[in-house]
Amino acid sequence: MIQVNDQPVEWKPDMTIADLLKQMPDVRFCSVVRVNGKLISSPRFDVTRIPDNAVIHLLPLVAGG
Amino acid sequence: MGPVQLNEIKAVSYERSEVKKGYTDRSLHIDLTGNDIRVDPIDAAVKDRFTGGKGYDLWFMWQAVKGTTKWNDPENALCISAGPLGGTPGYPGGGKSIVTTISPLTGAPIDSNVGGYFGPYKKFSGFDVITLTGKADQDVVILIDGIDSRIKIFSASDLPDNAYELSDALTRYFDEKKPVNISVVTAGPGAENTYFGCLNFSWYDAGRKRVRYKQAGRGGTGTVLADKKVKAVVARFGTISMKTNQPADLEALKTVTKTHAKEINTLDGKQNRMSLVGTTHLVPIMNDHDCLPTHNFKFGSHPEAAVIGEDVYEHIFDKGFDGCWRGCAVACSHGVKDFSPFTGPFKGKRVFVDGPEYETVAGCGSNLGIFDAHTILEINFYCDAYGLDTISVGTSIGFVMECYENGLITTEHTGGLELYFGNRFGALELIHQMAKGEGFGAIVGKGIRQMKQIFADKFNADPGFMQDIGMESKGLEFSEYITKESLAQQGGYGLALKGPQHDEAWLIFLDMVHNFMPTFENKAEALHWFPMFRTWFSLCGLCKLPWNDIVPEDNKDTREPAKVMKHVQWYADFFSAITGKKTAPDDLIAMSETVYNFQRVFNLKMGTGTREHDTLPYRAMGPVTVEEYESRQDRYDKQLTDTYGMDIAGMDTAARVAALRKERESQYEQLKDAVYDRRGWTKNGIPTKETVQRLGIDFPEVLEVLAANGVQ
Repeated sequence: MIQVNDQPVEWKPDMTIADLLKQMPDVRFCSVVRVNGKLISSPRFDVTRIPDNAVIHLLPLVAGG
Repeated sequence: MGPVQLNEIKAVSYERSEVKKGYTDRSLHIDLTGNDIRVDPIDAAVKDRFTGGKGYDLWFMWQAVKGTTKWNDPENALCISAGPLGGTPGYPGGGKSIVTTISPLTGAPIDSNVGGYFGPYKKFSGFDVITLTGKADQDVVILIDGIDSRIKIFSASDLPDNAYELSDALTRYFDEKKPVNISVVTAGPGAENTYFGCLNFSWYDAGRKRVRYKQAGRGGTGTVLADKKVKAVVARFGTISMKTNQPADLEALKTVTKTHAKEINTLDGKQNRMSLVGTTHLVPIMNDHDCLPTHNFKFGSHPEAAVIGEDVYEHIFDKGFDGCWRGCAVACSHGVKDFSPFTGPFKGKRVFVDGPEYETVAGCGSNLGIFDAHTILEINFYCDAYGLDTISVGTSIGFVMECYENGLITTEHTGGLELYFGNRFGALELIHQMAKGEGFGAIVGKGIRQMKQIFADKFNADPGFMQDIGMESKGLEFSEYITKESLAQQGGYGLALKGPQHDEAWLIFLDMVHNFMPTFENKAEALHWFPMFRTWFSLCGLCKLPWNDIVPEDNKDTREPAKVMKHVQWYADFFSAITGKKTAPDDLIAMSETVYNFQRVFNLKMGTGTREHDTLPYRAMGPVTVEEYESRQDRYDKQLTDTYGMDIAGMDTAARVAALRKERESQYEQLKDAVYDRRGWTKNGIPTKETVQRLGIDFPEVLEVLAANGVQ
């Protein structure tokens, strides 16, 4: 099980961030997520595997400095 | 350093105008040539039309300067305002100052939005806006004392010349028992000797018992203050509460303040964690999306960028409350204590560094090929202490390094400095030279536009290549984002009134990553709404970060998530609560549109403000060199074949660079047309007569400026 935006989500082996987002509603603005506190950006969603028990937050916008 | 010695040369008492509904309705004018001090009422029509903040600054500047006024003419005015909402403790980002002047870099109005307590202290001392004109005949310090209702001008000698020590010394001099009552505006020796001097706005950090500062960085405001021989402007004021602005509806103000602050306290830790890492979270994000300036904006990423982002600075930043305004929940003004520089006058001493923010990391780090968090800290420290804008410093040195690596300049020109990318000591030495106005640093301190001319005239460098790689527009150096793949953000930079700073519009992700604005009309709409809304923060004395850097959890379910309309409504409520004017979100846009168009006409008055001035160096649009093209060849080849339908099989890389350039430059011109049309401007980028009439700025002198530029 993993936590995504404070909600439990079933974890699967070899699950990537791209896989996770495919099953989430309204993620059209999501280009960055935090996985256990570490930033992962959209170019790496396909290749970043999620560990079991991960705590994930979807960053809703990137708004510049 | 010995004790501060100031000699009073002028003192006037005044009757402090109480703040009512966010306004004092008074302006303070100091003419330094004759030490003339004047307090004027602000006309109700001016308040209605220009709202406050940057609107007031521009209005009083307009009165002070002629179209022929240069930055260093005595009549040039340096204006500082706070805005009607500024000075609200606890409201996130609720204490900004806005500075404007005629820029040494652009020759047109520049504006800069800055933290620290000066703006609110000045307002509560009785003045919505202050204007400084003229030039002193000796170094002076100005005191606006809202506790004793006195304004004083002192002659100053033997003061520390760097802002780091000067801000501290003057804070303790003017209120040793309660240093929190003091805010100091200073420049520094770099501001005296370059065209991109910044202003440091201080506040006293009671937790750490030290003076901190933020910078009004862009466009040379510090250079203008130094040129007027003002060493510092000091504001002194006492206790502040939510009642100090005398809001029209105190309960409504408390409600909206509490609501916004609570949301940030709840969500920041789950989103950008700005209260821990400031804006350094942007470094890895920009790097991953190929938007982090690297080697003079040539590339957008670098494998070593991981060592200059939030992962590193989170551990270096000193722990504690870091709000640049009282009670701000974002609290992103982090710093590093006990830092020991390797070079310069503070070599081996222990100092506190206020920063770095993203812009400094990118501009003075990756853009220079410097992937060393401590060198970036040292550059940050010296730029602040010397009064230099880290953005212009970083972008200018990046340009110099690329010129050096391409043989356009050599050690013969640089005084022996080998200014290759990654040369940390070379970059620091240039900054020390800028501060002294000596050596090659004296040339770099003139900014990229003048460097291009000097390198061409004196060093026989290729002007065409320098035009392509010199990251300036309107004379102002670019802030730190790669825009090659975002046409909308090219407009965000090229069409920005003061030059390429991202505070008007930051559309890279909406455009490049999410593709939410595929048509020119979509982009033009964004380049209307976002600059108008973002302008509003500087009318009111606020920071934009709480608007869209922490967003509501249900924001994604709204019709236009990028606008974060829930927060826009809160800002309208905030304005209503303070001023008593029932205000809706569209009203905020209307306030800004008036000032925005007035600033465009102001540009026109100063000889800019037309289509030809909205140009960009080609590097902002696409790959200038074969090396750049080949570094992202798949991307560019695909665009030529798929987007533009070209057969590129027989084309070498140089031909492909040229073909892509032709398309991208054409697109940018089409974007200009669309944006001008949306803004109610002519094809030449000038507000039409109907537009200025609709906005109520059709004063005779405005119409004269339009007529002189062919708009009847």
